[in-house]
Amino acid sequence: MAERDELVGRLESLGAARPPALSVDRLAAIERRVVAGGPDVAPPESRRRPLAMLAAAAALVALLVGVVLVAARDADPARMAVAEGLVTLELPDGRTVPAVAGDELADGTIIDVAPGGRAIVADVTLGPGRYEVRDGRPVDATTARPHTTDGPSPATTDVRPDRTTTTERRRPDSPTITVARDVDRDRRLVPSATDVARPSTTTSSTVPTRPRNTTTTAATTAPAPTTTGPTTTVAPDRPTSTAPRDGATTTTTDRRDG
Amino acid sequence: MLFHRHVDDVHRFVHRRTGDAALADDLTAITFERCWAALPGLRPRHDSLRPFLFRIAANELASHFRSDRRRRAREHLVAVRDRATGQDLAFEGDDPALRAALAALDERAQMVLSLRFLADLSTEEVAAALGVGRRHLAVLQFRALRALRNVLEEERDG
Repeated sequence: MAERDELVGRLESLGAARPPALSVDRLAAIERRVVAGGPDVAPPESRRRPLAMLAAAAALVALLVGVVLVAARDADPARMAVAEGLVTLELPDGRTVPAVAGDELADGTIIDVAPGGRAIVADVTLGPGRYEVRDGRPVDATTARPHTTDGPSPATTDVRPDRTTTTERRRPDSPTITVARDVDRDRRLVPSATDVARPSTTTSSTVPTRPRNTTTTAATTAPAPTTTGPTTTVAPDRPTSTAPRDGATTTTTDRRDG
Repeated sequence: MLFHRHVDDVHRFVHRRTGDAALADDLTAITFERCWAALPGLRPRHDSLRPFLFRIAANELASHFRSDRRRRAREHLVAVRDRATGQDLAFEGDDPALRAALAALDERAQMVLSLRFLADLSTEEVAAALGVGRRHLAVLQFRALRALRNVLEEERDG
C-alpha cells in the first residue's frame, strides 16, 4: 500500500511539473503545420496506408509473375506444324526420325531440313538447314552452341523406320518417345507425366480421329533418303496417311532399344 | 479558438510524457491535425472536446512508444542511473525513470495513468476520454498502477 501511495505521489509530482511554456515562435510553427495540414509529419495512419498499398501491389505483381512462370514452364513444347520435303529430327537421346506434322519437339531436338524442304515450328518457317529447339523455339544450329546429350552418339543412332512403337520406358534423363501408329498429328516426341507413369510392356492405344486437314508430310512425299550423320539413314517407309483405319483399338508390343 | 485554448495544455501533457520539447511539438501538431480531421464526424456535447483532444494525444503517445518499447525504456533507465545527480533533466520536476516505466506499459495502462495524473483532467473528463464509468476507471487505474510498479521493480532488480 505504501509503495502504491509512493507511486501515486511520483505520478502526481510528474503531473505537477511545469515544462517550459511554448515560445511564440514554436507555437506559430505548430499552428502553421496544423493549418497547412502537416506536410512535414503525416499522421501515422497516413504513413502506414501507402506502405500497405505498396505491399499489396508487390504481392500482386509477385503472384502474376509466378503464374506467368508456371504457365511458361507448363506450356506445350514446340510443335511441328508443317514438314514438307525431307525433314528429320535428331532427338535428344540421339535417335533420328523423320519429322511428321504434329510432332512435339523437346528442347535439344535438332531439326534437319533437307534442300528443297520446309518446316514450320512454333510459327517459325524453317528453310533448308539445321535447327535446334531451345525454350520451345527453333534456333539456327549452325550458330548455336554444341548440343550435348548423354545418349548415344549419331554414329550409333537407332533408326526405326517402321515407327510402330507406342510407348517406351524412358531413362530418367532421356525423353519418352511416344508414337501413335499411323497418326501423324498425335505423335509425341516429348515426355509427359502420363507416359512416365504408364506401364510400357503392352499398350493399348486407340487410334484417334484423323484430322480433317491432312498435312503434307515427309511420309506422304516419300523423298529420297538423306544421310544425317556418319551412318544414319532415314527411311520414311511408315504407313502413309491415306491408309484406311477403322478406329478400333489396337494392341502393340513395346519395342525397346537393344 | 480551439487551438489556442488547448494547445498549451496538450503540449505540456505531451512534454511531461516525452521529456523532449521538439518531440512534444511534433506530437502536439499531429494531435490537432487528427482532431481537425475528426471534427466533421464529431457530435459535440458540453465539455466533450477537451477529453477527446487529450485522448488523441494519449493515443499518439502510445503509438510513439509502441515500437521497441522495452528497449527504449531500458535505454532511458540506464541513462537515468548514470545521471545519479539528477542533472540533465528535461524540466523541473521531471522523472525520467517514471516516464520510461510508463512507456513500457501496454497502451491501455499508459492512457489511464497519463490522462489520470499528467493531463490536468478531472476524473470525469478522464472517464469520458476513455469511454468508461468512474468505477471502471478506478479498476483500470488500480491495474495500471500494479503494472507500473512491476515494471519499476523489474528494472530495479534487473
